[in-house]
Amino acid sequence: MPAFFEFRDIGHQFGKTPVVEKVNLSLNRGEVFSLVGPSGCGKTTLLRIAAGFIQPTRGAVLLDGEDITALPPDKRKINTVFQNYALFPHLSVFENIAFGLRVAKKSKTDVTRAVGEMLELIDLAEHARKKPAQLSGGQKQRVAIARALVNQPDLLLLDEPLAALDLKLRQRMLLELDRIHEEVGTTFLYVTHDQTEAMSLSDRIGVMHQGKLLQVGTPAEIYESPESSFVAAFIGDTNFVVGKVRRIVDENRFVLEAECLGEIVVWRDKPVAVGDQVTVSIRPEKFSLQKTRPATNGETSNSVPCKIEEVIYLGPQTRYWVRSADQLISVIQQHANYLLDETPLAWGDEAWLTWRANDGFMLNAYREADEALLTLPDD
Amino acid sequence: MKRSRFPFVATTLILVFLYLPILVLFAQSFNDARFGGSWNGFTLKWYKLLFEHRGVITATENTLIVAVTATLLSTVLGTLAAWALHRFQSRMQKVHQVLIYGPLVVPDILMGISLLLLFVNLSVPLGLGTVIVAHSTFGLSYVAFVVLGRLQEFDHSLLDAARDLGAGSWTTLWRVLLPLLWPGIAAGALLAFTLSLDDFVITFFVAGPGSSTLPVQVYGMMKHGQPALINALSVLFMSATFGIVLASQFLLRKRYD
Repeated sequence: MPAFFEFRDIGHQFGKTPVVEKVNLSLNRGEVFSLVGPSGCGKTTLLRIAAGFIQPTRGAVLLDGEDITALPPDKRKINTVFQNYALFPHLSVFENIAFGLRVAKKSKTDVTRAVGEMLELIDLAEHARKKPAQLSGGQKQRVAIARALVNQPDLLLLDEPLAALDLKLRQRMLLELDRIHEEVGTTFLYVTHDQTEAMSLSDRIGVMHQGKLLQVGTPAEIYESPESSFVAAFIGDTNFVVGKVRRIVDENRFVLEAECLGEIVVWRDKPVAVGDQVTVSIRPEKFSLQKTRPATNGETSNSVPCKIEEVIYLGPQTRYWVRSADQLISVIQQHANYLLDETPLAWGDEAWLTWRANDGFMLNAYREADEALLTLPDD
Repeated sequence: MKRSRFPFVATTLILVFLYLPILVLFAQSFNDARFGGSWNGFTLKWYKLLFEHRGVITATENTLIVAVTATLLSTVLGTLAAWALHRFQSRMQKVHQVLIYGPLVVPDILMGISLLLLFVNLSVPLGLGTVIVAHSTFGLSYVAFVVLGRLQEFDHSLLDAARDLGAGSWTTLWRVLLPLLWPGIAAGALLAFTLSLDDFVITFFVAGPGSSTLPVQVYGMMKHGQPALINALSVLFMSATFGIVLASQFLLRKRYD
């Protein structure tokens, strides 16, 4: 099946600075795809290339098998929800939504019916006569979505649509977006710097950094098996353990001579040879932290002594920074019955850090600079 | 803490200073005395005489023709100038901006002399045409100034949004840009209109025989000793100008957010 929407070898530069490099990406019909990355990673440029506001320096944009690279924005069956909503301040909610239909010279009855349906969809029927300035942030956002969707686009582009809303409203709008997507079934291309937004909404995620698309996959794939240290550190939080392969145990495990933690057993999810330099990423919530030495099996799990350096109570969990040998490690523990059947670990306590071999995953690419993305303080 | 009386006193003094002369003028226009030294009783005869005065009627016609034409010209040119100044990036933009604003700071008398020299050198006969051109030159600057202010707070993503929703350049212009800039354009136009009505110095230089506007006419009547008529004319003239300025202020205040 040919891709529904495709970026083919897209490259773009402003002057001499490349902002997007060699991006190849295919979207399936009806999916929600998120482009995630820090600001300046090129995701918004890519979105504007899809909308037609930017002509890419290289490559082609295809919609439903047709090359639309040269089409201007007003000729594409693609609509955008802009970051600051960009609602027309001189038009009512109704006229804002009707704008695209009026431009397309749809009949009066068609306009009334289609806009009415949209107002139902976004649950703002009673506000149809209001001007945008009289709406709340969340309502403006819904009008912006309706104004784009009423044109029945093949592809809906969303440019950080929730960035201007506060946390609670953002969470509600995410559910709302999910519901709207379910009802209309349009393909969504969603751009955000917020990885939790992307994770909760998307069928698939693409992580961008410095103009390149680093990895594409389902939220679980991206979280559970990131390929590079950037993806591991940007999506969620993690710990990097660097070392050399000491010996291969069997086809599933090998022993790593870690720079700080000593010999640890690691799941062998990629081919390695003795002597290879390897970086392993271990998520904070994979560890368990105990006061007494656990009876672990040294073949399939690891246990190292450590000292608690910081305890941060977060409500549902507690975050610890512990030091083992010379490495600072971030650990998250759920608490079952806080203060009831456990005395909490405190600053300065000695404890044991335990994890299974298959809790860590090997990274293909490691850059020391990505350590800066972790929540750990600089050591 | 006792509230200071200073703001009240200062405001009163300023208002007296500004409006006392105008009040005197207003009162004198109803004074039944030829030279207004003393109050001889209420009369409307100066207004009556005014409407029978040939020169005043011609000058009023001239003034309106010039003001309307010059306003139209300067509104279109000024709006385009503001758009070009705002929209296009260039190292010369600062220079362009200063050049557009020039007529706002150049003394009127220099503007008048230079325009007169230009028309004479090009052997353009002085008349209503030259007055219209002269008024358009400074009107344009004022319109550009006001519209540019409006553009500064214009959200350009609205133009992207319009294009994204299928609108071409013309549709975007008519349905989004002009409706949103309209209060600024109208305010600028009203400003240009009042300035054209009021202008004396520049008009004095470039007006030919028979193309005098009201301010030039007032000056002439002054010399021929008809102060009472001038009082009445000034009151009418001022009321019209005042009304237009109020309207322009009201338009400028209109915002959408």
